[in-house]
Amino acid sequence: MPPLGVARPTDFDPVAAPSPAVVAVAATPTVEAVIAVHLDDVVAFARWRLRGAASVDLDDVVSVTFQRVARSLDRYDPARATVRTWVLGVTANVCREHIRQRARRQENPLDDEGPFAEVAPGCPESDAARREEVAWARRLVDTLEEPKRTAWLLFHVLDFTETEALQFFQQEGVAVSSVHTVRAWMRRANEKLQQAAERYRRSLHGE
Amino acid sequence: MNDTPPEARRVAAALRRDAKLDPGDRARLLALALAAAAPVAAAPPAPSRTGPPWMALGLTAALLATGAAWVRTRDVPPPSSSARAAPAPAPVAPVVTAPTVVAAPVVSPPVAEAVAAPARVASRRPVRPTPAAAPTAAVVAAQPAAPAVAPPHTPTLAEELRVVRAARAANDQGRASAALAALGAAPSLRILWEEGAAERVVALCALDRRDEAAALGAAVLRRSPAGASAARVRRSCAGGR
Repeated sequence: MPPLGVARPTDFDPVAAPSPAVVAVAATPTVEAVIAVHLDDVVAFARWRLRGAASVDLDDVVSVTFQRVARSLDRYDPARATVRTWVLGVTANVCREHIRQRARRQENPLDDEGPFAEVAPGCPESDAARREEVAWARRLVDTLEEPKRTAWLLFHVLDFTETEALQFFQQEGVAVSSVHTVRAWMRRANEKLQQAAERYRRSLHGE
Repeated sequence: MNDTPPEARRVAAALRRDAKLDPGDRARLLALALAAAAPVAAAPPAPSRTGPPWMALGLTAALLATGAAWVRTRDVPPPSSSARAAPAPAPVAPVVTAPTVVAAPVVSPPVAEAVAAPARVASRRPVRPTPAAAPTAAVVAAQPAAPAVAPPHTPTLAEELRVVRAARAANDQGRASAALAALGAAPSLRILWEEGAAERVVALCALDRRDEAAALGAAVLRRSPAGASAARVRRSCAGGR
Protein backbone atom coordinates (compact mmCIF):
# COMPACT_ATOMS: atom_id res chain seq x y z
CA MET A 1 0.00 0.00 0.00
CA PRO A 2 1.45 3.36 -0.93
CA PRO A 3 2.14 5.81 1.85
CA LEU A 4 -0.36 8.43 2.87
CA GLY A 5 -0.15 11.57 0.86
CA VAL A 6 -0.24 9.90 -2.52
CA ALA A 7 -3.44 11.30 -3.97
CA ARG A 8 -4.79 9.37 -6.91
CA PRO A 9 -8.52 10.02 -6.72
CA THR A 10 -9.24 8.66 -10.17
CA ASP A 11 -7.88 5.26 -9.16
CA PHE A 12 -10.11 5.00 -6.14
CA ASP A 13 -12.02 1.77 -5.98
CA PRO A 14 -13.04 1.21 -2.38
CA VAL A 15 -13.80 -2.47 -2.73
CA ALA A 16 -11.27 -3.94 -5.08
CA ALA A 17 -8.23 -1.76 -4.61
CA PRO A 18 -8.64 0.76 -1.85
CA SER A 19 -6.46 3.81 -2.22
CA PRO A 20 -5.44 5.97 0.69
CA ALA A 21 -6.12 9.05 -1.39
CA VAL A 22 -9.28 10.00 0.43
CA VAL A 23 -7.61 9.49 3.77
CA ALA A 24 -4.75 11.66 2.68
CA VAL A 25 -7.09 14.53 1.83
CA ALA A 26 -8.53 14.89 5.30
CA ALA A 27 -6.41 15.31 8.42
CA THR A 28 -8.85 13.11 10.31
CA PRO A 29 -10.76 10.94 7.87
CA THR A 30 -14.36 9.93 8.02
CA VAL A 31 -15.06 6.52 9.46
CA GLU A 32 -16.32 5.36 6.05
CA ALA A 33 -12.97 6.30 4.53
CA VAL A 34 -11.10 4.49 7.30
CA ILE A 35 -13.18 1.38 6.73
CA ALA A 36 -12.71 1.52 2.96
CA VAL A 37 -8.97 1.94 3.14
CA HIS A 38 -8.06 -0.22 6.12
CA LEU A 39 -10.58 -3.06 6.07
CA ASP A 40 -8.16 -5.42 4.33
CA ASP A 41 -5.37 -4.68 6.78
CA VAL A 42 -7.68 -5.20 9.73
CA VAL A 43 -8.92 -8.50 8.34
CA ALA A 44 -5.43 -9.75 7.50
CA PHE A 45 -4.15 -8.80 10.93
CA ALA A 46 -7.16 -10.28 12.74
CA ARG A 47 -6.95 -13.52 10.75
CA TRP A 48 -3.36 -13.83 11.74
CA ARG A 49 -4.05 -13.08 15.41
CA LEU A 50 -7.10 -15.35 15.60
CA ARG A 51 -5.33 -18.25 13.97
CA GLY A 52 -7.73 -21.06 13.26
CA ALA A 53 -10.79 -19.25 14.53
CA ALA A 54 -14.06 -19.62 12.70
CA SER A 55 -15.25 -16.86 10.42
CA VAL A 56 -17.79 -15.94 13.08
CA ASP A 57 -14.90 -14.77 15.27
CA LEU A 58 -13.47 -12.74 12.44
CA ASP A 59 -16.84 -11.11 11.84
CA ASP A 60 -17.11 -10.20 15.50
CA VAL A 61 -13.63 -8.74 15.65
CA VAL A 62 -14.11 -6.68 12.50
CA SER A 63 -17.44 -5.43 13.73
CA VAL A 64 -16.22 -4.45 17.20
CA THR A 65 -13.03 -2.94 15.81
CA PHE A 66 -14.79 -0.52 13.52
CA GLN A 67 -17.39 0.29 16.14
CA ARG A 68 -14.55 1.40 18.41
CA VAL A 69 -12.78 3.19 15.60
CA ALA A 70 -15.97 5.12 14.88
CA ARG A 71 -16.42 5.94 18.54
CA SER A 72 -12.91 7.22 19.10
CA LEU A 73 -11.97 8.63 15.71
CA ASP A 74 -12.19 12.18 17.03
CA ARG A 75 -9.50 11.29 19.55
CA TYR A 76 -7.09 9.99 16.93
CA ASP A 77 -3.84 11.94 17.08
CA PRO A 78 -1.93 12.00 13.77
CA ALA A 79 1.18 13.14 15.62
CA ARG A 80 1.41 9.81 17.42
CA ALA A 81 0.64 7.30 14.70
CA THR A 82 -0.65 6.92 11.18
CA VAL A 83 -4.31 6.04 10.84
CA ARG A 84 -3.36 2.52 9.81
CA THR A 85 -1.15 1.99 12.84
CA TRP A 86 -3.83 3.34 15.13
CA VAL A 87 -6.54 1.18 13.55
CA LEU A 88 -4.38 -1.93 13.82
CA GLY A 89 -3.70 -1.04 17.45
CA VAL A 90 -7.46 -1.08 18.03
CA THR A 91 -7.66 -4.38 16.15
CA ALA A 92 -4.91 -5.89 18.30
CA ASN A 93 -6.79 -4.92 21.47
CA VAL A 94 -10.06 -6.34 20.19
CA CYS A 95 -8.32 -9.58 19.17
CA ARG A 96 -6.74 -9.89 22.61
CA GLU A 97 -10.08 -9.40 24.34
CA HIS A 98 -11.75 -11.82 21.99
CA ILE A 99 -9.14 -14.48 22.62
CA ARG A 100 -9.45 -13.95 26.37
CA GLN A 101 -13.24 -14.27 26.22
CA ARG A 102 -12.97 -17.45 24.20
CA ALA A 103 -10.48 -18.90 26.65
CA ARG A 104 -12.74 -18.02 29.59
CA ARG A 105 -15.68 -19.74 27.96
CA GLN A 106 -13.34 -22.62 27.08
CA GLU A 107 -14.90 -22.92 23.66
CA ASN A 108 -12.02 -23.86 21.47
CA PRO A 109 -9.66 -21.52 23.27
CA LEU A 110 -7.19 -19.78 21.04
CA ASP A 111 -3.59 -19.38 21.94
CA ASP A 112 -2.51 -15.79 21.51
CA GLU A 113 1.09 -16.74 20.93
CA GLY A 114 0.45 -20.15 19.46
CA PRO A 115 1.00 -21.38 15.95
CA PHE A 116 -1.17 -20.70 12.97
CA ALA A 117 -3.88 -23.18 12.17
CA GLU A 118 -3.10 -25.23 9.13
CA VAL A 119 -5.83 -23.60 7.10
CA ALA A 120 -7.22 -20.18 7.78
CA PRO A 121 -10.87 -19.39 7.19
CA GLY A 122 -11.44 -18.26 3.67
CA CYS A 123 -8.58 -20.26 2.20
CA PRO A 124 -10.00 -21.81 -0.98
CA GLU A 125 -10.29 -25.55 -0.83
CA SER A 126 -9.62 -26.01 -4.49
CA ASP A 127 -6.15 -24.60 -4.70
CA ALA A 128 -4.18 -27.35 -3.02
CA ALA A 129 -0.77 -26.09 -4.09
CA ARG A 130 -1.47 -22.64 -2.79
CA ARG A 131 -2.76 -23.98 0.51
CA GLU A 132 0.33 -26.08 0.86
CA GLU A 133 2.55 -23.09 0.25
CA VAL A 134 0.61 -20.98 2.73
CA ALA A 135 0.85 -23.72 5.35
CA TRP A 136 4.59 -23.92 4.72
CA ALA A 137 4.93 -20.16 5.09
CA ARG A 138 2.97 -20.15 8.32
CA ARG A 139 5.01 -22.95 9.80
CA LEU A 140 8.15 -20.97 9.11
CA VAL A 141 6.76 -17.74 10.54
CA ASP A 142 5.70 -19.65 13.65
CA THR A 143 9.34 -20.40 14.35
CA LEU A 144 9.82 -16.69 15.08
CA GLU A 145 9.38 -15.33 18.56
CA GLU A 146 7.34 -12.29 19.50
CA PRO A 147 7.74 -9.40 18.88
CA LYS A 148 9.95 -10.33 15.92
CA ARG A 149 7.12 -12.27 14.34
CA THR A 150 4.70 -9.37 14.50
CA ALA A 151 7.34 -6.93 13.31
CA TRP A 152 8.16 -9.17 10.36
CA LEU A 153 4.51 -9.61 9.40
CA LEU A 154 3.73 -5.92 9.71
CA PHE A 155 6.67 -5.04 7.52
CA HIS A 156 6.61 -7.80 4.93
CA VAL A 157 2.93 -8.69 4.68
CA LEU A 158 1.11 -5.49 5.61
CA ASP A 159 3.73 -3.15 4.11
CA PHE A 160 4.30 -1.18 7.27
CA THR A 161 7.23 1.18 7.31
CA GLU A 162 9.74 0.75 10.12
CA THR A 163 8.38 3.92 11.74
CA GLU A 164 4.84 2.61 11.61
CA ALA A 165 5.98 -0.66 13.13
CA LEU A 166 7.72 1.27 15.89
CA GLN A 167 4.55 3.26 16.56
CA PHE A 168 2.55 0.06 16.61
CA PHE A 169 4.75 -1.52 19.27
CA GLN A 170 4.77 1.66 21.32
CA GLN A 171 0.97 1.65 21.22
CA GLU A 172 1.09 -1.94 22.36
CA GLY A 173 3.23 -1.01 25.33
CA VAL A 174 6.31 -2.87 24.08
CA ALA A 175 9.51 -1.27 25.36
CA VAL A 176 11.11 -0.12 22.13
CA SER A 177 12.46 3.35 21.53
CA SER A 178 13.90 3.49 18.03
CA VAL A 179 13.53 2.08 14.56
CA HIS A 180 16.98 0.56 14.94
CA THR A 181 15.52 -1.98 17.33
CA VAL A 182 12.68 -2.78 14.91
CA ARG A 183 15.22 -3.07 12.10
CA ALA A 184 17.33 -5.43 14.18
CA TRP A 185 14.27 -7.59 14.94
CA MET A 186 13.51 -7.82 11.26
CA ARG A 187 17.08 -8.69 10.33
CA ARG A 188 17.12 -11.42 12.95
CA ALA A 189 13.69 -12.64 11.82
CA ASN A 190 14.90 -12.86 8.22
CA GLU A 191 17.92 -14.89 9.28
CA LYS A 192 15.76 -17.24 11.33
CA LEU A 193 13.30 -17.69 8.49
CA GLN A 194 16.11 -18.52 6.10
CA GLN A 195 17.52 -21.07 8.54
CA ALA A 196 14.09 -22.57 9.21
CA ALA A 197 13.43 -22.86 5.47
CA GLU A 198 16.73 -24.65 4.96
CA ARG A 199 15.99 -27.01 7.86
CA TYR A 200 12.56 -27.68 6.40
CA ARG A 201 14.06 -28.47 3.01
CA ARG A 202 16.62 -30.81 4.55
CA SER A 203 13.90 -32.61 6.49
CA LEU A 204 11.97 -33.16 3.25
CA HIS A 205 15.02 -34.82 1.76
CA GLY A 206 15.56 -36.94 4.86
CA GLU A 207 18.89 -35.37 5.69
CA MET B 1 13.46 -5.68 0.85
CA ASN B 2 16.74 -5.99 -1.01
CA ASP B 3 18.46 -7.48 2.02
CA THR B 4 15.66 -9.99 2.55
CA PRO B 5 16.83 -13.55 1.96
CA PRO B 6 15.09 -15.42 -0.88
CA GLU B 7 13.25 -17.85 1.39
CA ALA B 8 11.92 -15.01 3.53
CA ARG B 9 10.75 -13.32 0.35
CA ARG B 10 8.92 -16.49 -0.67
CA VAL B 11 7.28 -16.72 2.75
CA ALA B 12 6.19 -13.10 2.51
CA ALA B 13 4.80 -13.59 -0.99
CA ALA B 14 2.77 -16.62 0.10
CA LEU B 15 1.34 -14.83 3.13
CA ARG B 16 0.55 -11.72 1.10
CA ARG B 17 -1.38 -13.79 -1.40
CA ASP B 18 -3.22 -15.49 1.46
CA ALA B 19 -4.07 -12.15 3.05
CA LYS B 20 -6.01 -11.08 -0.03
CA LEU B 21 -9.71 -11.15 0.66
CA ASP B 22 -12.17 -13.00 -1.50
CA PRO B 23 -14.47 -10.31 -3.04
CA GLY B 24 -17.57 -11.90 -1.54
CA ASP B 25 -16.07 -11.99 1.93
CA ARG B 26 -14.88 -8.45 1.50
CA ALA B 27 -18.35 -7.21 0.60
CA ARG B 28 -19.79 -9.00 3.62
CA LEU B 29 -17.15 -7.65 6.00
CA LEU B 30 -17.49 -4.18 4.51
CA ALA B 31 -21.21 -4.28 5.23
CA LEU B 32 -20.54 -5.48 8.77
CA ALA B 33 -18.01 -2.74 9.40
CA LEU B 34 -20.25 -0.01 8.00
CA ALA B 35 -23.20 -1.23 10.02
CA ALA B 36 -21.10 -1.40 13.19
CA ALA B 37 -19.84 2.12 12.68
CA ALA B 38 -23.18 3.48 11.54
CA PRO B 39 -24.76 4.42 14.89
CA VAL B 40 -21.67 6.31 15.92
CA ALA B 41 -21.20 7.92 12.55
CA ALA B 42 -24.86 8.95 12.51
CA ALA B 43 -24.56 10.72 15.86
CA PRO B 44 -24.37 14.52 15.85
CA PRO B 45 -20.84 15.38 14.77
CA ALA B 46 -18.26 16.81 17.10
CA PRO B 47 -16.52 19.99 15.95
CA SER B 48 -15.41 18.79 12.60
CA ARG B 49 -11.85 17.92 11.75
CA THR B 50 -13.03 15.83 8.89
CA GLY B 51 -13.05 16.57 5.21
CA PRO B 52 -15.90 18.24 3.41
CA PRO B 53 -19.28 16.53 3.77
CA TRP B 54 -19.50 15.75 0.06
CA MET B 55 -16.47 13.53 0.42
CA ALA B 56 -18.08 11.33 3.05
CA LEU B 57 -21.33 11.21 1.12
CA GLY B 58 -19.61 10.38 -2.12
CA LEU B 59 -17.47 7.74 -0.54
CA THR B 60 -20.41 6.15 1.23
CA ALA B 61 -22.37 6.09 -2.01
CA ALA B 62 -19.42 4.54 -3.82
CA LEU B 63 -19.03 1.96 -1.08
CA LEU B 64 -22.67 1.04 -1.12
CA ALA B 65 -22.90 0.93 -4.88
CA THR B 66 -19.80 -1.19 -5.24
CA GLY B 67 -20.75 -3.37 -2.30
CA ALA B 68 -24.15 -3.90 -3.83
CA ALA B 69 -22.48 -4.75 -7.10
CA TRP B 70 -20.48 -7.45 -5.35
CA VAL B 71 -23.56 -8.82 -3.68
CA ARG B 72 -25.41 -8.88 -6.98
CA THR B 73 -22.49 -10.45 -8.73
CA ARG B 74 -22.57 -13.27 -6.22
CA ASP B 75 -26.22 -13.90 -7.04
CA VAL B 76 -25.53 -14.38 -10.73
CA PRO B 77 -24.87 -17.94 -11.90
CA PRO B 78 -21.41 -18.57 -13.28
CA PRO B 79 -21.06 -17.67 -16.94
CA SER B 80 -20.73 -20.35 -19.55
CA SER B 81 -17.27 -21.18 -20.79
CA SER B 82 -17.82 -19.16 -23.97
CA ALA B 83 -18.96 -16.20 -21.94
CA ARG B 84 -15.92 -16.55 -19.74
CA ALA B 85 -13.63 -16.44 -22.76
CA ALA B 86 -15.03 -13.09 -23.85
CA PRO B 87 -13.45 -9.99 -22.36
CA ALA B 88 -15.22 -8.92 -19.22
CA PRO B 89 -17.18 -5.72 -19.56
CA ALA B 90 -16.24 -2.82 -17.35
CA PRO B 91 -18.03 -3.05 -14.01
CA VAL B 92 -21.04 -0.81 -13.81
CA ALA B 93 -22.44 0.19 -10.47
CA PRO B 94 -26.07 -0.82 -10.28
CA VAL B 95 -28.78 1.75 -9.86
CA VAL B 96 -29.95 1.24 -6.31
CA THR B 97 -33.59 2.08 -6.09
CA ALA B 98 -35.09 3.20 -2.87
CA PRO B 99 -37.55 0.72 -1.41
CA THR B 100 -41.14 1.72 -1.92
CA VAL B 101 -42.71 3.11 1.19
CA VAL B 102 -45.60 0.87 2.03
CA ALA B 103 -48.27 1.37 4.61
CA ALA B 104 -46.62 -1.30 6.67
CA PRO B 105 -48.40 -3.33 9.28
CA VAL B 106 -47.50 -2.41 12.81
CA VAL B 107 -47.41 -6.04 13.86
CA SER B 108 -44.12 -7.62 12.95
CA PRO B 109 -43.86 -11.03 11.33
CA PRO B 110 -43.69 -13.87 13.79
CA VAL B 111 -40.48 -13.88 15.71
CA ALA B 112 -40.05 -17.57 15.01
CA GLU B 113 -39.58 -16.66 11.38
CA ALA B 114 -36.96 -14.10 12.31
CA VAL B 115 -35.25 -16.53 14.67
CA ALA B 116 -34.75 -18.97 11.83
CA ALA B 117 -31.58 -17.17 11.01
CA PRO B 118 -29.67 -18.05 7.90
CA ALA B 119 -26.57 -20.11 8.59
CA ARG B 120 -23.73 -17.71 9.26
CA VAL B 121 -21.67 -18.02 6.16
CA ALA B 122 -23.27 -20.51 3.87
CA SER B 123 -26.58 -18.76 3.58
CA ARG B 124 -24.91 -15.45 2.95
CA ARG B 125 -23.52 -16.94 -0.19
CA PRO B 126 -26.41 -17.80 -2.43
CA VAL B 127 -26.23 -21.31 -3.80
CA ARG B 128 -25.34 -21.24 -7.45
CA PRO B 129 -27.15 -23.66 -9.71
CA THR B 130 -24.94 -26.44 -10.95
CA PRO B 131 -24.43 -26.62 -14.70
CA ALA B 132 -26.17 -30.00 -14.72
CA ALA B 133 -29.21 -28.65 -12.97
CA ALA B 134 -29.48 -25.49 -15.02
CA PRO B 135 -31.49 -25.92 -18.23
CA THR B 136 -29.67 -25.16 -21.42
CA ALA B 137 -30.72 -22.27 -23.61
CA ALA B 138 -32.13 -24.70 -26.18
CA VAL B 139 -34.30 -26.46 -23.62
CA VAL B 140 -35.57 -23.19 -22.31
CA ALA B 141 -36.41 -21.99 -25.81
CA ALA B 142 -38.32 -25.17 -26.61
CA GLN B 143 -40.52 -24.93 -23.56
CA PRO B 144 -43.81 -23.06 -23.71
CA ALA B 145 -43.59 -19.63 -22.21
CA ALA B 146 -44.43 -19.77 -18.54
CA PRO B 147 -46.66 -17.09 -17.11
CA ALA B 148 -44.52 -14.19 -16.06
CA VAL B 149 -43.93 -14.36 -12.35
CA ALA B 150 -41.78 -11.71 -10.77
CA PRO B 151 -38.88 -13.34 -8.95
CA PRO B 152 -38.78 -12.64 -5.22
CA HIS B 153 -36.91 -9.43 -4.61
CA THR B 154 -33.53 -9.97 -3.02
CA PRO B 155 -32.50 -6.84 -1.18
CA THR B 156 -29.18 -5.33 -2.05
CA LEU B 157 -26.64 -4.43 0.57
CA ALA B 158 -27.61 -0.77 0.22
CA GLU B 159 -31.27 -1.60 0.79
CA GLU B 160 -30.51 -3.75 3.80
CA LEU B 161 -28.37 -1.01 5.26
CA ARG B 162 -31.13 1.52 4.70
CA VAL B 163 -33.69 -0.71 6.44
CA VAL B 164 -31.46 -1.32 9.43
CA ARG B 165 -30.64 2.35 9.76
CA ALA B 166 -34.31 3.31 9.55
CA ALA B 167 -35.17 0.78 12.24
CA ARG B 168 -32.31 1.94 14.44
CA ALA B 169 -33.28 5.58 14.05
CA ALA B 170 -36.87 4.74 14.94
CA ASN B 171 -35.77 2.79 18.00
CA ASP B 172 -33.48 5.59 19.09
CA GLN B 173 -36.38 8.01 18.85
CA GLY B 174 -38.58 5.70 20.92
CA ARG B 175 -40.77 4.75 17.95
CA ALA B 176 -40.72 0.98 18.39
CA SER B 177 -43.72 0.32 16.21
CA ALA B 178 -42.14 2.25 13.38
CA ALA B 179 -38.96 0.21 13.80
CA LEU B 180 -40.91 -3.02 13.53
CA ALA B 181 -42.79 -1.64 10.56
CA ALA B 182 -39.56 -0.77 8.79
CA LEU B 183 -38.19 -4.25 9.41
CA GLY B 184 -41.49 -5.94 8.62
CA ALA B 185 -42.00 -4.12 5.34
CA ALA B 186 -38.58 -5.05 4.03
CA PRO B 187 -37.74 -8.34 2.41
CA SER B 188 -35.91 -10.60 4.84
CA LEU B 189 -32.42 -9.40 5.56
CA ARG B 190 -29.55 -11.66 4.63
CA ILE B 191 -26.28 -9.82 4.94
CA LEU B 192 -27.34 -7.67 7.88
CA TRP B 193 -29.56 -10.25 9.53
CA GLU B 194 -27.99 -9.79 12.96
CA GLU B 195 -28.22 -6.02 12.84
CA GLY B 196 -31.88 -6.20 11.81
CA ALA B 197 -32.65 -8.81 14.46
CA ALA B 198 -31.02 -6.67 17.14
CA GLU B 199 -33.23 -3.73 16.18
CA ARG B 200 -36.25 -5.99 16.28
CA VAL B 201 -35.26 -7.12 19.78
CA VAL B 202 -34.97 -3.53 20.97
CA ALA B 203 -38.37 -2.71 19.52
CA LEU B 204 -40.02 -5.79 21.00
CA CYS B 205 -38.61 -4.87 24.41
CA ALA B 206 -40.02 -1.37 24.11
CA LEU B 207 -43.42 -2.84 23.32
CA ASP B 208 -43.13 -5.17 26.34
CA ARG B 209 -43.12 -8.27 24.11
CA ARG B 210 -40.39 -9.72 26.24
CA ASP B 211 -40.73 -13.40 25.40
CA GLU B 212 -40.39 -12.71 21.69
CA ALA B 213 -37.48 -10.38 22.37
CA ALA B 214 -35.76 -13.01 24.50
CA ALA B 215 -36.13 -15.70 21.86
CA LEU B 216 -34.77 -13.53 19.09
CA GLY B 217 -32.10 -12.02 21.33
CA ALA B 218 -30.86 -15.49 22.23
CA ALA B 219 -30.50 -16.29 18.53
CA VAL B 220 -28.43 -13.17 17.95
CA LEU B 221 -26.21 -13.90 20.95
CA ARG B 222 -25.71 -17.49 19.85
CA ARG B 223 -24.57 -16.45 16.40
CA SER B 224 -22.41 -13.54 17.30
CA PRO B 225 -21.73 -13.34 21.03
CA ALA B 226 -19.12 -10.60 20.78
CA GLY B 227 -20.41 -8.51 17.90
CA ALA B 228 -21.88 -5.04 17.92
CA SER B 229 -25.38 -6.46 17.53
CA ALA B 230 -24.88 -8.68 20.55
CA ALA B 231 -23.90 -5.65 22.58
CA ARG B 232 -27.12 -3.94 21.54
CA VAL B 233 -29.14 -7.01 22.49
CA ARG B 234 -27.41 -7.23 25.87
CA ARG B 235 -28.37 -3.66 26.64
CA SER B 236 -32.01 -4.50 25.90
CA CYS B 237 -34.51 -6.43 28.02
CA ALA B 238 -33.32 -9.59 26.23
CA GLY B 239 -29.84 -9.26 27.62
CA GLY B 240 -30.66 -9.67 31.26
CA ARG B 241 -31.82 -13.25 31.12
